[in-house]
Amino acid sequence: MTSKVVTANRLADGLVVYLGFAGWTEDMHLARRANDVESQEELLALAGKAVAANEVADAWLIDIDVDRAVRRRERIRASGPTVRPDLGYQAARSA
Amino acid sequence: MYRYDEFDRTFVTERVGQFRDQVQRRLNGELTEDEFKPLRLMNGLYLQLHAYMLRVAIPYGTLSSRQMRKLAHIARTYDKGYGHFTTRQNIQFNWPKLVDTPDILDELAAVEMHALQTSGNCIRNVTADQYAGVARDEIEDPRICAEIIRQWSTLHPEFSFLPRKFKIAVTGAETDRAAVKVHDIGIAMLRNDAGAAGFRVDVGGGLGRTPIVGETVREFLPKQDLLAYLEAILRVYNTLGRRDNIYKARIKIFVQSEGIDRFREMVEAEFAQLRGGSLDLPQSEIARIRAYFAPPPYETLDEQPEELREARRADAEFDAWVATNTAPHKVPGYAIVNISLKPVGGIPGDASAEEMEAVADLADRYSNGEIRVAHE
Repeated sequence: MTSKVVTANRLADGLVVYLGFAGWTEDMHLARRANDVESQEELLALAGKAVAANEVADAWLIDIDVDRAVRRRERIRASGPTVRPDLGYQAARSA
Repeated sequence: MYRYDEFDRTFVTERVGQFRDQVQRRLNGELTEDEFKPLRLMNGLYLQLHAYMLRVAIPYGTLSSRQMRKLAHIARTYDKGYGHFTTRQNIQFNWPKLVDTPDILDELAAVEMHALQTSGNCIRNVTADQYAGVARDEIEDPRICAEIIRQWSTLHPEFSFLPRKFKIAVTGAETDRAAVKVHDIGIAMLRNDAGAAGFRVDVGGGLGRTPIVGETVREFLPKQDLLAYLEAILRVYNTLGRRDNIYKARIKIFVQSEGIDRFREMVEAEFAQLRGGSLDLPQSEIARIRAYFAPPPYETLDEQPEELREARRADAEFDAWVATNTAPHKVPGYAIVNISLKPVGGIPGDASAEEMEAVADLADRYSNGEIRVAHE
């Protein structure tokens, strides 16, 4: 079964975040993974509380293959704008 | 130079106050995302793939140097030091924080700018030929017509929830720099056989996933009938346009499905009901709007000064630059200078805060402080 993580956009600034072990993180590699339906539901329940608490605008599960998102859209969300690599997360991580 | 009027000033100030309250209510949980989304879209704020995006209108592409410096200040203070000038005479800030957007809108209001009707299924900001008022091939300044349309369409109660977004462009020149054939409605000024100025009206053009060249719905429309005719088109589309499929909801799809002749029949029938009523445009109103676009004080200059001829002879690169980057101006001795925002390998339309300030400085020095934003 494919691993899943929960992603969202942070309410206050709109940036892409992932549900980690100690709250929300901008680094997908630090996201908490769910490998079965029960743990996925557990992650979504936690995310739902964060939506209700106005920490994030919305939250959903995405598929992860080894260490990157399966869908191209989510890979771009994780790494930043393809047209301005100097501005996205990859720039911050390589700094 | 263009200014917005007293009504706009009050309205924009009030709207910023309302939006500040709405943002606060969203942040403290009184509004859900579903409740907040239509409110933020009415103020030009999207939540996109990577962050929020704020789209700000640049009416008819006309900017003063003061406004350009304000955009640079916003880019530097609230964003990542740049903005993106779009093909439809807007600027987009790609990284604003939600918590900062009321302050950004306050800053914009201080220089008579706003983000109204830059998103949502309404009549979007009207665009015009970027050379409006200075083009040598111009019949009349299209911004007067465009401003009348803006005032009519702003918060129009009947057309605030159209099937899809709706874009109008106006040109007053023989050369169509406003790309009117790829707009939902394209308006081109022309003269009839009697020499009277009026409009050709095209409808159903567009780009996107289904690019279509617009078709002419009216060969000649007298000036005073402009708003009545536009209202007739919008009313037919608003009543009968599809709302079940977002990809089939633009007016271009409706015109294609009905055929231009059937569409014209419906519009003309509606127009017959509206013509001569409260939407009639009196000359006094047109004159009032024309005063908004008063030209700067021009000097009397030689059309081809000897200094310019000598400089072009002496410097081949300068000669090539003049040939490529300038366009004829309607006032002798003046020129239109184009500054490209298309760097090799870069993103067309992006400009850094420093570049915006440099352009503002050049405008103050050489152009009566006036700048235009264009898609070309």
